[in-house]
Amino acid sequence: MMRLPIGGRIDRESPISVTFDGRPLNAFKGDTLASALLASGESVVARSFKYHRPRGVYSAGVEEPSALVHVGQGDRSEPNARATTTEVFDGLASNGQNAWPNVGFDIGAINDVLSPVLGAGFYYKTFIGPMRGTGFWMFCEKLIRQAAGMGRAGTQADPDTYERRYGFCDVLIIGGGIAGLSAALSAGRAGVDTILVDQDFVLGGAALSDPVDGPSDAWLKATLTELHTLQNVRILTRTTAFGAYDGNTYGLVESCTDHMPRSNATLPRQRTWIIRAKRSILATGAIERPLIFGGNDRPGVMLAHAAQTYVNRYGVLPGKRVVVVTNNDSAYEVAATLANAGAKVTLADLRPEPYAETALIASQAGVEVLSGHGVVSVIGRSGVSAARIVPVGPDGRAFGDERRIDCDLVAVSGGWSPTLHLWSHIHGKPSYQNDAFCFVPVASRGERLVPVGSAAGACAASECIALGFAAGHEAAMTIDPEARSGDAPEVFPSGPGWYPRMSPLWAIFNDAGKTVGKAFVDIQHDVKLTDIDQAIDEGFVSVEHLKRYTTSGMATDQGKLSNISVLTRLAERRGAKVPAIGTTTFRPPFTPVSIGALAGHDTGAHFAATRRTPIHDWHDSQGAVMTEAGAWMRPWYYPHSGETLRNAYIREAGHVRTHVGIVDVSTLGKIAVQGPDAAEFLNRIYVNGWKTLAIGRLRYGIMLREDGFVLDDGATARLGEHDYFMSTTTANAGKILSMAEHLLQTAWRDLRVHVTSVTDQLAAMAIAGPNARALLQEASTGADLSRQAFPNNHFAEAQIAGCPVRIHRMSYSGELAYEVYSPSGFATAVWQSLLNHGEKHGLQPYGTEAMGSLRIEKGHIAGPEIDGRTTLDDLGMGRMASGKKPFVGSVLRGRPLLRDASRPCLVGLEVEGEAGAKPGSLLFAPGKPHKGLSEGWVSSTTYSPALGGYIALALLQNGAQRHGETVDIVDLLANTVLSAKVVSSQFFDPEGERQNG
Amino acid sequence: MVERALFLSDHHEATTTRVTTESSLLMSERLPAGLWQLAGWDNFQSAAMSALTALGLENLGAFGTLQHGKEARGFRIAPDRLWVETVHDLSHFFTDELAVLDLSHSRTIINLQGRHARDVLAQVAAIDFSVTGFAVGDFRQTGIHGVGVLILCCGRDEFEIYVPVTWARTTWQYLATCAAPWGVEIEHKQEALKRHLTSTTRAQPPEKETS
Repeated sequence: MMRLPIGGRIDRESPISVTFDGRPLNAFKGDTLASALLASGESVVARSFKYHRPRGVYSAGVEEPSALVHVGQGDRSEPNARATTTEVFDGLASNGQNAWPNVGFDIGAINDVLSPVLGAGFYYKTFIGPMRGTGFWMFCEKLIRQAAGMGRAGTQADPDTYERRYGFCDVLIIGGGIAGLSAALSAGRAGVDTILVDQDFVLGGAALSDPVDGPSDAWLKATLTELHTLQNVRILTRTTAFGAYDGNTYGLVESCTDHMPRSNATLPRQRTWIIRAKRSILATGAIERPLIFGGNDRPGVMLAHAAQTYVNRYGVLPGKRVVVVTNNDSAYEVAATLANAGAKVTLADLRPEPYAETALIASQAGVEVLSGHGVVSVIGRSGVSAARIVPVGPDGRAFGDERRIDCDLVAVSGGWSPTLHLWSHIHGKPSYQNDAFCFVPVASRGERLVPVGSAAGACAASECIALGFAAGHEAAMTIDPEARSGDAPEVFPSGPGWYPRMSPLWAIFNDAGKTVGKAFVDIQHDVKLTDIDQAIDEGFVSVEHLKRYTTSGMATDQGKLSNISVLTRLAERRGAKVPAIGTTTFRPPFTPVSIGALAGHDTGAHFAATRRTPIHDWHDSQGAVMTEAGAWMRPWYYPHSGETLRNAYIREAGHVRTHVGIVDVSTLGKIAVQGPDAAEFLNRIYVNGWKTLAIGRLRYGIMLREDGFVLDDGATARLGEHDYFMSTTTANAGKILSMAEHLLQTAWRDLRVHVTSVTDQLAAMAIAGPNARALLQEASTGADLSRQAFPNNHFAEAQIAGCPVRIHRMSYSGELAYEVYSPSGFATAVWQSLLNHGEKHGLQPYGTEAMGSLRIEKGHIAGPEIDGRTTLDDLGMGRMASGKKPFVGSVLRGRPLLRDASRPCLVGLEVEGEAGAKPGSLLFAPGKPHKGLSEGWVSSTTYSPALGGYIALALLQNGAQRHGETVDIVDLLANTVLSAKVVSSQFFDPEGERQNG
Repeated sequence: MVERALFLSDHHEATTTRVTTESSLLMSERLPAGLWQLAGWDNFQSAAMSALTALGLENLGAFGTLQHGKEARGFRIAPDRLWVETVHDLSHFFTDELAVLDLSHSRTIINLQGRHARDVLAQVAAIDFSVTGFAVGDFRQTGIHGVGVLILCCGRDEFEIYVPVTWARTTWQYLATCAAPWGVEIEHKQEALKRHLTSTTRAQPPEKETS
């Protein structure tokens, strides 16, 4: 391996400081890390996944199975980076991974010695089963994970930013090789909005592997020059399309600063694009396939076209003595390139006779051709020292005398596979092309995604240009039938393609039909051909099962190189054709995508949107401790100096019982129900009746799900003839609105009703306590709030601080209580006015914890009781259900199971001792073992300032008949047992004298 | 009556990077002059006609295109719903055939302008913000970070985003984060209101049409 004195597309005037394991590399601008490693003679750059075998650079692209390295340092580091696609920059530090102490000498290589017992299914057979339970397996799994694997992710916070961006275009072209460029040219000339993306940092694709200043360079220069003049063509380099989705939508990730010395503060590290295109063209080229033989994973074994790329693009000669082994014509040009660059090259062609055209290429370059020969194995450990060449028969078996050829590079070509992954994401299974021994996309007229060039199975440059240009024009015509693209660009001559004169041979065996040494099918996951055979012998004859049992095709390369070999072997063993075997399913992403890129801005404070009530800032300014309630931020409690949550909520709740308190309940769901059929709508959605509700009144209601379980509760006020105001719980506001809209647009289209959220329009504050009336009478104008004029379940329009408000008399705490609804923009002013007026009445704010305590004391149900498992009868509210009308859930609530009298029903618990029960604790009868099904559970719990002890709400079997009994409250997590007396769920003021007073 | 509170005014400066360049985005908040929903059923157009006439709107308008009236702006947000931004009280147009709802306090409006306004918005909503895809006078209903919003293009590089008030701050901060690479300038409350008032002609409330 050496850097050639001339040639390549690197900028030799711009040397770059790059290191690998601390050693400086010979690198220039335009290099990849892989080319710099090769130029610097670094043969071992990684260790394999399972056996820790030394590995080198195997390819020159995204299909790289071996050269995975750790790049960067500290908080800016990334494991499993493909050296072959990592663009070098000044200061790039890279390191080997999955090795100790380093990739040159790795203790883990002991696994290679043990490999005979580590075949397919070893872990399943060995560690699952010998011991009872899963404990032994879980223990072993930790050790296995430590020994195997790839790189390790950093634990420091990622300092970079990421971005998501949505894009739209008429034509999206994926791939910037000659087919994609031709498509972009025709679409661009036609004037349609075009986006061209390519994963590389330079456009040109495989043409960049052609000799510098050759015919393809002239073509590229002319085409790119014209493309850059077209304002309607946007070009995104360093951008990989990783997924294709419904609606012709594509996921792409653009690398913005990965190729820069340090992150630019104004640019994200990576940007995820979600592009919706009217038409798209897939010009992703093809990936060369390996051949299977002994030691085919050794450093020094490389894909043939990759070797050509290193010579022509990067000016690196990957070997001085080279054996090229091939089953097709495309490798002849590679052999010639290597020979012309100064290497001594022998070409072993598995086919019995060379063809005149290709033989001429070889002879002109001085390449020795051995027809009907193949490499049965290579010699060497950390690099190749020789290849064992054998005559090969039509079945891939060796016959005759073996010949050893000293070499430091074995370049292999087992044919090519069109890169059709994105096509497959949308369309599923491709078809098999028999003369090319590969899968190709199924051509279908009218499809919005059109594969072209090598991605469609084309070989010659002229064919790629013609197909690409025609596809671009055709796509443009679907946008603008008058579009004109002019003439296609001139074509240029290209080397021989991989078919139709291709041999189906894909592996080289000895004369006994066995591979010699370890012959890898999936190099990245250390899956040998013998593993595949073993799995088939054990009955894994479905390709999907085989994949999962052997792990072939998994990991970061997702089987880009191994897929066809595995399928071919499976077909041979089953005596079937490859198309009958099928292929595994390609799924996004095409290449690994960082989590950061997928998250975009949605991290940290923006992990999820946060909802704040209109009075939020006041709570904040008063030192309230906030709590999350879904997306909402709510005041949990308002601690006095040094006060704990427990002390604060007990103080706040107690104060309400003795004076008056105010709590922000703006989070309640609020829905305007309007229209001439609004009452009928309410009748159908609530269990109770609504047609008699008078204007100016409000009523408590309960909703069921269709299956008969309780869904939600709240009060609804009748504002006008056809105008109602519904409130829901905070948690279910969105769900109820969606359900109502869904019903109105589907099952209840007969109803002339509109439902609209007014949760944002109105703030709400609840005022509770014996001084509540006096406070409101003083603070408000425009309404008679006297006991006689304003009884429970009424509302009145009024003003507070000159702002319009609506006051509902409704209590969930058992206290004399009101809810004040104010337009959001006036909410803080109204709140502050109430506080000002309330000073002499002892008004204090209270938070959600005290609010919960008060409602538990009153026995009012809330989310913990309406948990989707309880019925009206369970909650003691069965009598609310009307028998005169149907409503949602009215039929299924009558199921025998839901009518079972022994179902757990709502009770109160007076807990003994100085510690409260934990919600979720289980209930057992005293003396019964605390095992198996319990007799109920604790739903809500609090310390009751009014009762001076701990209480709880619970669901208990036959609860209504068990008042006075004692139960055990068992917390299996904390391993505690408490005792409690079963009582009515209405602990406080069961007669309702206070709330109705 | 007290002045309506802006929902973002106290937090503008704390949430953004103030880098002032030619590329900077200008962000400000304004409250809708008044926002009303008119909703109807099969005969929506005729049911709403008296209100539309009073507001100087010819008809219900087309979905996605702002309709200008004498003192009102109409947003056809659904086949059977129309939003009207106006200073006038429309509650008296409520009939058996037309549901009228005051949403004036439910939304605040984030104004985003600058040559990169479209670039910022292209990061936050899955709609086409190109000049041809989202022309001046167009509006779209979409989501920003999961929050339902209405976005109006009111200039080549200027947008108004109608945001539910309880989501306003989180949306503002999200937009400011996305705009930060270009720099963000904050237009203060008085300046924003002054600019809007000078561009809005206020007239006497329309009288309810009687037959």
